[in-house]
Amino acid sequence: MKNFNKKITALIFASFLLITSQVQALKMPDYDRDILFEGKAAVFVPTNDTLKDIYNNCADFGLEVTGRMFDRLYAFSGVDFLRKNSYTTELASPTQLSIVNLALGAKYFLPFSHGDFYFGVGIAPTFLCTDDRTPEPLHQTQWSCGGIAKTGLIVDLPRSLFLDFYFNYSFVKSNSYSNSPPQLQETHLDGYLFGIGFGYRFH
Amino acid sequence: MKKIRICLFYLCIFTMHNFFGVMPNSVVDVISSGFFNNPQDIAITSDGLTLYVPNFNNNNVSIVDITTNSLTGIVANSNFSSPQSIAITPDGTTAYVTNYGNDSVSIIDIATNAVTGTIANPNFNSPYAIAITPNGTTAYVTNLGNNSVSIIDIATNTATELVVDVDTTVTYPIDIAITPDGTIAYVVNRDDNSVSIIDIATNTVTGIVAGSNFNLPQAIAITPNGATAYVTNNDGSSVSIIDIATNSATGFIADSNFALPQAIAISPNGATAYVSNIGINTVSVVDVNTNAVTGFISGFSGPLNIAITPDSATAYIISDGKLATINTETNVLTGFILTPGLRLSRAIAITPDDTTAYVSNGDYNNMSVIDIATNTVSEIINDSLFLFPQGIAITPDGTTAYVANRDVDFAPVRNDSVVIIDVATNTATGIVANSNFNYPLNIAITPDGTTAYVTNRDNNSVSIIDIPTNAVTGVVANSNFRSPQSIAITPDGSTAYVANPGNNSVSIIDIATNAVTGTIANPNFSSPYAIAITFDGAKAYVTNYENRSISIIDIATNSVTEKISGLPSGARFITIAPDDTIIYCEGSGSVVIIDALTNTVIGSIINYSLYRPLAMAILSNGEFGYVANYETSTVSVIALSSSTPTPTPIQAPSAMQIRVIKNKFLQYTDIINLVSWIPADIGPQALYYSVYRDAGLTQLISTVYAQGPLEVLDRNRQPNTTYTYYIVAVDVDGNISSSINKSITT
Repeated sequence: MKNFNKKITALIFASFLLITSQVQALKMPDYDRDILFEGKAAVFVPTNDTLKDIYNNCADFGLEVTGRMFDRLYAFSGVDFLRKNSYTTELASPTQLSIVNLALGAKYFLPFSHGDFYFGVGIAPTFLCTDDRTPEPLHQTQWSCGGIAKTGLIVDLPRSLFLDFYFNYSFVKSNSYSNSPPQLQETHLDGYLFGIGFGYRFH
Repeated sequence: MKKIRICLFYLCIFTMHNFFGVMPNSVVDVISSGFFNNPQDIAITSDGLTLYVPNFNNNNVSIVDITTNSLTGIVANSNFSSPQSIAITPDGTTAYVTNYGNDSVSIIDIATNAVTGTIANPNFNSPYAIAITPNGTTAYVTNLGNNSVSIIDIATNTATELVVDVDTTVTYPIDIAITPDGTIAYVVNRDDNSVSIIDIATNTVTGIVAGSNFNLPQAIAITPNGATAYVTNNDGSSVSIIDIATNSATGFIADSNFALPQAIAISPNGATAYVSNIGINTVSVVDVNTNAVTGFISGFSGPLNIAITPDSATAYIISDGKLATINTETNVLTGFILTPGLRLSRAIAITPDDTTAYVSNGDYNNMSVIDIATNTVSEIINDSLFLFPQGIAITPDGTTAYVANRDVDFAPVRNDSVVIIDVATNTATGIVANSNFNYPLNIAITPDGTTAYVTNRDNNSVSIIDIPTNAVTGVVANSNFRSPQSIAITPDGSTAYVANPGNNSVSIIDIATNAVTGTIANPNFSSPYAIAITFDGAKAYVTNYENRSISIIDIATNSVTEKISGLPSGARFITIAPDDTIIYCEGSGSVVIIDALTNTVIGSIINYSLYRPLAMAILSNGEFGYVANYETSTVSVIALSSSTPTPTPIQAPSAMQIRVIKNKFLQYTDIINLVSWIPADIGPQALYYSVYRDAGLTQLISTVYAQGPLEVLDRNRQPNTTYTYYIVAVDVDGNISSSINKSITT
């Protein structure tokens, strides 16, 4: 578990470096600079039956950076993390779910007097890790890639601070193989995120 | 006349011998007065006059007269095995009962309340729910064991077809309902969160209804107009709504008062649905027109299935093993149906002429009278004189029975007494009252019939009753009495022995002087509880409750000479065969057989009915024993051998069941076969059971000790694969029974 935590930390740092370099590289002289850094907290509401039956709603935390590319078109990159312990519905076997969800995409901003309304789409490379008790411990990990659609409302606060009320829908599908006996099972990590972000806006 | 009665009696005994084939030391009959015992389902006849309740634990079906809300009888048959569900044909002539335990369906003729046949078919596999088409031609039975639905042709009473679509559309089919027009059967797939649609014309699965709100669906009911079906979601605490015209889930009813909703029933007038909430012991009331919960009714305990009378006036609900009634106009719990007869039986005594047995129903303040010729409860002695009746003794001339009445624990003012019953009329004619009675438990009568001795547990004394005057004439008190329980008198009437569990001793009373003349103490005594004296007067046997043993007292020397060990837990009571060759010890779930010549345990009698047996009485000819069972509220009739029996070999377990469980994790599904069984009815007790995957008994899955839950989880099975399991029982000497086996496809 310690190694897993280190991997997650490394992923978050790597994402930050990537995002920061992207935003720095933008340097679009024709438009005003507008870069938004935010920390987020949300509720993940799964739509997939299996995910919902076992884990139901989960708390999700993340970081996101958004930078202007062209006029009202912005690029965004983010990382989300959630972890939840639960039990299977049939035999109440303990299980732990961990998801690191990266996101890279574009947002379209619609400014108003005190902030912006936005919507966006992107890709979502996702790292899934489950630790099940069957009753023997079974640790399974995999990477897969899905998509994300998001919309939100940014409310500007004094001192370049802002609040971001957002709603995301992400969908990730992968095929998992059980160890014993070998069986193929589709895994869907589909769901909604209702959350709020708080950040600083460079402009 | 008396000679005729006696001749009839022995004719009946002879008939019983031939009918049952009489295997020595086996239970040949179970007397039950219909006491509900783990009832599972309810069905009401179309005329609304009678209600039938299968008793899963008693292997019978109770009959309730709806007009009086009283239990009027039982349907008993040896083919009943864990009866689960019941359905009655629309013409009210026949009832069909699924036998979960032996994969069959029993047919009951409603006119005679007799089982007229049993439908067996290889396709039956843990048959569970049953529904009959409105035209009465076909019955559909769900099979939990093989995820299928069997079809019974009612005209021929044969299982003709099998609707099966494993893993896709029928998965743990826990309930079934048929539309009023008889076109569609809906099957609730508990483990698939869906409902299968069976086209009755073609008997094929034409689709499934699935919806996000299905969550461990449990039961289904259809409105009388055939427009809507309602499905309870046990895990989702909601009720799903299916539009029958479109076969789609159109929504669900959520309410804070739904808690693990179990069963559902809709009133025949279509106005109201009732949902039992096992989680909070209530019944929710749903307005079918608005799909809104309008209230809930409390006062239940573990409410299960519901049935409503055809006039929609009364709902019947299984609650805590009883049958509760609801007035559907006021939606108020109006009471519980109390079943007469054997209830939590505590003691039993047989008249000297072997015609009648009396059973004290301790917690229900009455006595059951059993006609031994027919082995039925012939009468209930109800009288306000009874107050937790316990021990019974009958005078040697058979005219009078005395029953110890012990008041409740810690009663501020004790009303302990002894009730006098006139055996000729089966009436309580009076009580013997005395201030010295204090928690009287057991009674013994001298062979000359002049005196009765009553142990008083809570004041460490023995009261003396003069039988001709029915008056207490004295008290035997002694400092060595400690919580005296049981008392026995030697056949010559000279001495009484009293077991004192409070100080691990046995007191000796000289009957001539009514004085304690000695106390037997021995290191082997450990909560000595019951005491019995051999008919030759040579030995007394004393059960030691704490260390599961029996101490043997030599009456000539009043010393403990031997100890019999290795009794099962709960072994407290003891009975001696009339020829003194066999000792019977009633344990927690069996009757242990002890060879009195060698003083060794030579076997045990096991039967589902023998659950906390608290007393046993044996006919004077020694052929049959009657055991009062507290937990099952039954009296087991045991055919006894008159001489030392040959130990029976260990028998294979029975009622093997297999259920496929799909323990679904996010990334994979663990397919598990849950194998369960019950002990054999006869033969020595098993020490453990071994479960194998092959007929050669080489692939051992697990060993299960007999004291634990008799089930095995075989994990990580392959999908769509047939597995066959074999189970053998092994006794303490390592003897292995033959195997039983059963197959299942995952």
